[in-house]
Amino acid sequence: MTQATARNLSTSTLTAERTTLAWTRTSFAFLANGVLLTIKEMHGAKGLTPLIPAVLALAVALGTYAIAFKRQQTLQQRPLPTRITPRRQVFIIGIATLLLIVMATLAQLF
Amino acid sequence: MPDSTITPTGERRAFSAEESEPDYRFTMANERTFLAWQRTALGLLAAAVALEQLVPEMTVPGARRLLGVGLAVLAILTSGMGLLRWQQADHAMRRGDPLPRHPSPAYLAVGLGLVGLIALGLVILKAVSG
Repeated sequence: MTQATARNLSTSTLTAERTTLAWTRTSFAFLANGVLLTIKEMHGAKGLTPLIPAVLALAVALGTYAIAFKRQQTLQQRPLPTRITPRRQVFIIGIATLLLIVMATLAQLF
Repeated sequence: MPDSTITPTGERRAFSAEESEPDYRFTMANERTFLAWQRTALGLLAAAVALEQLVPEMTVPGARRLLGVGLAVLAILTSGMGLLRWQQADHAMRRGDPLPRHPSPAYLAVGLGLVGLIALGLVILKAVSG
């Protein structure tokens, strides 16, 4: 193995590592919001409907963690697969974030 | 592959001017940028929820709600912008175009500055009115 190949290999490992960590961190951000929304609703317990945003946030946190796990397995492969664009994952998380913000805001207003 | 490190589409760009799979580093960088946008949006949402929950009602009625809704609107814009940015960058990288220019972080800074100014104004108002 030449020095250049070794460097390329370790660069791709570190890049993949940063990407997986970014997914994990995002999962924790969802988790934090879920906890915050749960605490907020514990003060005024009026049935289960106000808990919907909190449950959504916690579910998305779990989903993001699952994506992080699968992503790690994909990006660990050497040689890397040619198609690694996470189009579906990006759309799922993007829409989920928008939905969560809208629902939490609506729950706050009414 | 000395050249492919410079163009976003990698060395395959030389063979076709059409869409091609971008270099893995650019794909992952775009992915991380998207996730950073979403985390920023989630941070703004957390701020909005905490504001409504932890801050006592202010002297001006409805001011707290106004700030909370302002933060939530910023969060929605940030999240949507992240999604849009990812798609634009992905598209540009596949065609080997330059990345689209965007005033994206500027509006966030202006919005947060505005929220901060309103909060400061409320604090001063409270101090003055006793």
